[in-house]
Amino acid sequence: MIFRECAEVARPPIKIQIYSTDIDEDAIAVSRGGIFPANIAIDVSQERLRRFFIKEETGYRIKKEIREMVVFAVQDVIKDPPFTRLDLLSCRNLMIYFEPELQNHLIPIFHYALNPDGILFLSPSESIGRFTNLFTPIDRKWKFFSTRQSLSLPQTAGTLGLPLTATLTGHGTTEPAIKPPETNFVELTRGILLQSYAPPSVITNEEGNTLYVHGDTGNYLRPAPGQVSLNIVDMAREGLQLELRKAIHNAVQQKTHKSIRGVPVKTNGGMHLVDVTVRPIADPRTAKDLLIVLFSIIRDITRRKQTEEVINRLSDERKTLIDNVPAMIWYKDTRNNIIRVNPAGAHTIGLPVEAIEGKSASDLFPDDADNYYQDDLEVIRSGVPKFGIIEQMRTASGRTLWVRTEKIPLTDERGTVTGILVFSVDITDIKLADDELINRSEQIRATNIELTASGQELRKKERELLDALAEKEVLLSEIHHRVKNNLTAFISLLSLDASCEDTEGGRALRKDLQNRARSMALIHETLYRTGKFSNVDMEIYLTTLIGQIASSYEGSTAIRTNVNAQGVVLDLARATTAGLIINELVTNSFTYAFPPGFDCLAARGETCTIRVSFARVDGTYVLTVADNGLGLPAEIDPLATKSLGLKLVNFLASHQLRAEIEVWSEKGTEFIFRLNNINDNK
Amino acid sequence: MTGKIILIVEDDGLIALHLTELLEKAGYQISGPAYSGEMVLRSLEESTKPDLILVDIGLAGLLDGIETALEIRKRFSIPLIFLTAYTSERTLERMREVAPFGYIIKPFQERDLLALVGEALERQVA
Repeated sequence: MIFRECAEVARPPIKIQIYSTDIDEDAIAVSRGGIFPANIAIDVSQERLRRFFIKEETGYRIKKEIREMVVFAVQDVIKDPPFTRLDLLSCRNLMIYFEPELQNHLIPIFHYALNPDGILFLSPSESIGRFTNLFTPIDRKWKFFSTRQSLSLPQTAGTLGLPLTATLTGHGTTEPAIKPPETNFVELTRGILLQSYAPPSVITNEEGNTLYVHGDTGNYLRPAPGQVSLNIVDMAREGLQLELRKAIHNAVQQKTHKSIRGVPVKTNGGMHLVDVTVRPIADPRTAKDLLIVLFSIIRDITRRKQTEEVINRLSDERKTLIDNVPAMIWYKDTRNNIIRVNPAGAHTIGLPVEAIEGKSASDLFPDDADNYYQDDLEVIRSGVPKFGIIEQMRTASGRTLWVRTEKIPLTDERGTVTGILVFSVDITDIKLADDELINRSEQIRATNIELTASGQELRKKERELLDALAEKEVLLSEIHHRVKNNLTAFISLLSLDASCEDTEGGRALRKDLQNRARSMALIHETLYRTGKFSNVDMEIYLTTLIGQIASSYEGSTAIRTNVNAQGVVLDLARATTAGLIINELVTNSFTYAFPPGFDCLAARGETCTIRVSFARVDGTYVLTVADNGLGLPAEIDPLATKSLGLKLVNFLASHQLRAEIEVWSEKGTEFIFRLNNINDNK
Repeated sequence: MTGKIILIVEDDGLIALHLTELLEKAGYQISGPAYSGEMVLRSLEESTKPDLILVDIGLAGLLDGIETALEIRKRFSIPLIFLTAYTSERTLERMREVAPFGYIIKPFQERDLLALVGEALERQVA
């Protein structure tokens, strides 16, 4: 604490290192703890207690800043080598326990340990004895002594066995002189050389317990973790312990120096290759040997170590990857042998990895190995990877798989292919689906070709049919034209004078026949005019028919005709029949309904009218033929008459049109026909 | 003459009317005329059996004349005479399957028809 207080005010600042030693390890251990009993408060000022101690339950713990100033070590001041170059050596109340002989042994050692102008501090009851040539009193009461410069070594110095003593010459002088300059120079040089070139080293006893430390040994030693020990092996850093223990053991056993070369040591924050030499040295005071352990770093391998760690980590990651990838990975040599397989590969084959590695592919795949090898050889010869090989693979259980394989050549640094990396994926499902798809697609293509052919055939047939139809239409048109012309010719034939008797009956018969033939001829004319060959537009047909009948009756101009058959279309057979019926009824109306003297206007209040209507009512065709004339004579039953006209009407209506017939004869005559089953006929 | 009953199956009204008048004048009793195969089969089940049937081959309706004749043949042994406007080989071949008494081609001579009808009825009596 005093040193610290002084050091703080010193200009320039000074660095203080205190070594504290005792022969008793227990005492050292207590000292290291830095805990003092509570009663020190009696002697230690409040200010210092506050500044340098931490109050604890059992007392005071010295603060780190003071504790770190002190290095504790077990030391036998008599037997063990001394510290050197000390500025102050305090050894109080020790020598009083020693015999004078031993005291005389110690004082020169103290002198040796101290720097020139160093100070020795003894207790009041102790003294330097006869060694006034070595020390000069500074304070007689407090027993401070200053070293005296001397060329001579203390008489015991030569027995210390320290290698460096050899450089000190001169002996036994009593000259109380100041240290000569040349000696000072030698000391200085020695110090500089030691400091600069001597390797960090440690003096230990044969058990390896540290006695003295030279230089910075931080790269090799550190406080033994978890235990209070000064044993160099315990203090050795990671990597060094085993080798060091062995070297110490051997050096002691064989009494010769032992070297360890290039031990990788985890130094403070790095990794170094370290050389260590353990050399036995004789301690002349005892029969026992001491050991000097010299350390040196030969190479910094921190970077290399880090790189190795990265590589190891990468390698581990790669292994994890290879072990877990859901694809088969094989490593083969160039002679079709399997060197490595990943778990996925082994699992697929159905064998343990050990049963595969080292085997020839021929043993594992008797059916396929030759094929595999052909690809291998191709890759080996070309040095170029081969991708997308689709091949079969048979498992141990006899199942056949489809796999997609990539083969990649592995080369050495000279570029020679030394092996092949085979990467296979099971594509059995895809392959089967694909085959099925190809199969289907072929079927579809075949069907498509057939369909196209059929389609072409159909189109050809259709063209032929259309051609044929066009031809038939021409023919039909021609036929209807011919039929109409034939009937027209027949009508003309009837017109010839000699065609019938020139009587009233004969002429009437001729007219009836001509009208009937005309009604038929008109049907055919309507068909070819309208360009339809089986369906007759009744509006067109009836308008023409009624017009022609009207024009054949002289004096018919007073009789109006009214036709309405809008939208009614009948097949040829029924149109012809309807035409005949209408012809009979309209002819009757012209002939009998309006006799001379019958006054339409007077009797009916309107013009003489013959009305024909054909209409569709509730799915039934209704044909009405009516006049507003005289009406049927009371004695005539229109449904049972033997007259040809009405007989024809009745028979044709019921037999061919399958119609219900109603006859009304109140204000003229009205025939109503309801045609049943309109779609029943062809 | 004999009051024999003849069933006429003919869908053309004018021809049916012609046949009816012609055969009635010749002294036969006329049944029908029917205009479809279905109508004939129904009337054969219900009314007096005719002695002879005249069938038009080109009937309207679901059954044509030949099919109607085949149906009649299956159920009754009544002689048949076909009336036809068509004389193609195919038609003649189909007619032969029915084994009719004979056939008349339209338009026919009244004399030929009456002769054939008379022959058919006489053969039956014999």
